[in-house]
Amino acid sequence: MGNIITAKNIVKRYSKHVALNDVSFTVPQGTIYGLLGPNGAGKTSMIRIINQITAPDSGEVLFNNEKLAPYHTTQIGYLPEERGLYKKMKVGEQALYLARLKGMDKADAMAKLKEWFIKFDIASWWEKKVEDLSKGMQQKVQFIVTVLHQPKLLILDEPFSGFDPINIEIIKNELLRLKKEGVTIILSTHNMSSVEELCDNITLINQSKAVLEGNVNELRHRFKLHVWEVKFQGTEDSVRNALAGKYELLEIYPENSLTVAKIKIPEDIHSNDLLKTLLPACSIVNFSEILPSMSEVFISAVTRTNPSK
Amino acid sequence: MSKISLIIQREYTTRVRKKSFLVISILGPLLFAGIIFVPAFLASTKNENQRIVVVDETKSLCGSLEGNATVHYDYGYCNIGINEVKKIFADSSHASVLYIHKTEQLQQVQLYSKDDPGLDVVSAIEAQLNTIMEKAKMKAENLDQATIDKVKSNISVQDIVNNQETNAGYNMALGYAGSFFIYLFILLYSIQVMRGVMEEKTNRIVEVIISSVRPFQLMMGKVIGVGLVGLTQFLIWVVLGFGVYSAGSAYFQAQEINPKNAAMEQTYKTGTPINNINTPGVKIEKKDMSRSFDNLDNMLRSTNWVLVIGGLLFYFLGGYLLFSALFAAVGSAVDQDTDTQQFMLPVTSPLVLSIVVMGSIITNPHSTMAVWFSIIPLTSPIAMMARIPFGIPVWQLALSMSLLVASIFGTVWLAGRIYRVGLLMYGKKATYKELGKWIFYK
Repeated sequence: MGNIITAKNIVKRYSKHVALNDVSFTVPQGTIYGLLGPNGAGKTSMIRIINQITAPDSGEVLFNNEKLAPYHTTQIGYLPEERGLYKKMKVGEQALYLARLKGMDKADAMAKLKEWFIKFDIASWWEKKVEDLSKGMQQKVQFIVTVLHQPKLLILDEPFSGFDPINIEIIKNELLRLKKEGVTIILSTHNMSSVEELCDNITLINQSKAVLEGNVNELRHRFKLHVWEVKFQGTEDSVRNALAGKYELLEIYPENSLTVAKIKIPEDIHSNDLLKTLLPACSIVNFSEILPSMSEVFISAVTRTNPSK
Repeated sequence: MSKISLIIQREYTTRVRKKSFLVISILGPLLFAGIIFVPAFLASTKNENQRIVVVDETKSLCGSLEGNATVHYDYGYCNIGINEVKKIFADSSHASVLYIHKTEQLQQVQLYSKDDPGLDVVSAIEAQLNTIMEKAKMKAENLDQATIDKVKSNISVQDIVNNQETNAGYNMALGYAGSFFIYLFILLYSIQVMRGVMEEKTNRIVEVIISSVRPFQLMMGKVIGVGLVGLTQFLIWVVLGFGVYSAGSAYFQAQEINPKNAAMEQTYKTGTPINNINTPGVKIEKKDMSRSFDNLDNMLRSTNWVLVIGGLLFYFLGGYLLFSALFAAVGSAVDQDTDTQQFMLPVTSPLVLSIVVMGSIITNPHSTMAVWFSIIPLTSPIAMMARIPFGIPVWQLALSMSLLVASIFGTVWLAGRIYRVGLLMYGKKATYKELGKWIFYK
């Protein structure tokens, strides 16, 4: 499958600062793509460029290998971070309006809306005014409106904020279902656990530059600290003695009837050598590598690229 | 259906469905009509039953005051002393007691009333007494009625401009009303556009919408949608206005020939002995309202309504497009109501300035200042509307209109540039310098 989005050397300047400085990345079709970065890094600027809300000063964005054009907006569903609805308008009427702005005809939009309203168990809200809805309820309506016109690309900026855990689960499942149907999703979020859970690939933008791009699992391996966790039966001292001089014991503590040790191995030594060293000292129950979480990857990549103070 | 028409539709229907729209649509013309007709209506109906007891110590005036639609004189107590009459009066259905002292020249006359009799009644009595006195004096000087009629003059200057009869006062009123109307409508609806833009921005719905449509489409959709609301209101007012006017005119015409009224007059006359004194002043008083209405009617018929209504439409729409675009830009540049002040002042000042100089324009509609104000686009909608009833050279009208149209395009373009950037700027207060930069953003 090809790439649905190809961003090439995007530069966007505002009067006082550069929001995006030569940012390039590609989003493969049918995947969930994380667009990560600290606040003010330039994520929203990038998302707005893909949505054709603003134009880059230089560089170009390809949508399915075509230069981005106004008609592409009907193939994109966008849930911005700053989102709201007309407060005085009725829910159903408003959803219908927003759907038609995305190019759906009235009857089609009506039929699909009814389906989604039943699916999300909100059919009774149709005639209610938006201002009578809670924030979480409004978020549901907004999500429906974003996906209603069956876009090929969904761009969600902090989609989980404002939802309770139950609704976060509902939305996550919807996203996974949409991915199965072949929809590509660009997810911008600070919620790193959801990145690990959902995203296939990510780009990390920091200080207007793309500092990290790649597959989530590969990145976790790339940022690994060569730390292994060993669960064993035996005495702490025998393990300590076996490791002495060769390996660094980071932590050792009892867990239930077992003992857990976290051991760092030098980069040039294979994990099998550690195993060999440990085998005579204890009876090993579990031996596994500790991969950094995405949030550790995030922090380490960001601090690495930030100039030291 | 194209996206911009969807936006127009939403802007239009959400506003027209509001109760306030209905209320203003109906109350507006009623209010205007009320200002014109209600005083007249009250004057012609209120005092119908003002029965006045006449106590005349001179004895010479008993029966000589003539009743009319508003006043009915009762001479049954003419010869009874004032103190006794006052006692009876307290329990009677009479409104007032007219007490004429016995003096040489009728100088002492008093009117005792239960309620304030109103200016109309008092002045009617005064006019009658004066007429009676004048006639008596003239008779004493040996002037007969024929001579008096000969001496009387009634000069009225006919105002003819370019072979057309006009009336300066009436034109002033029309110019004033027209330009004030334009001012009101431009301000009312441009502010609605600004509020709409701010609503979208502060509700944070705007980013969703401009991911579907271009900001310019959203802005124009709003401007056109709200403009159509204004136009609808305008048409409702015109239709209702003519409706109310026709009803009013029918009412006053019916009054004039109402047989019941004539019969009533007859009873007043027959019930009382009348000295055969002609009192023309009183008659004019009585028919004043319907007569001035006739005058109004004639003037209204002399107006070139196609030009006035057409001018109103053109300058309302033109001025509205010009200013609403500016107001939309202002709305996009701010986060809160309070921040609008700094930008509102320069945007509204041409409107306020036009209204300020409008007074001098209608008194001197062809002065250099009036001409320039009516040609420069930001002031022309109001200034030109003030001048239109006086007749405008075609070249001035054409120049004013084409400059207005040209500047609409310029302003809308400029406003669109500011609007598209301003919409997504949150948190910081924009300065004029920044607005200038926004225009040149890519």
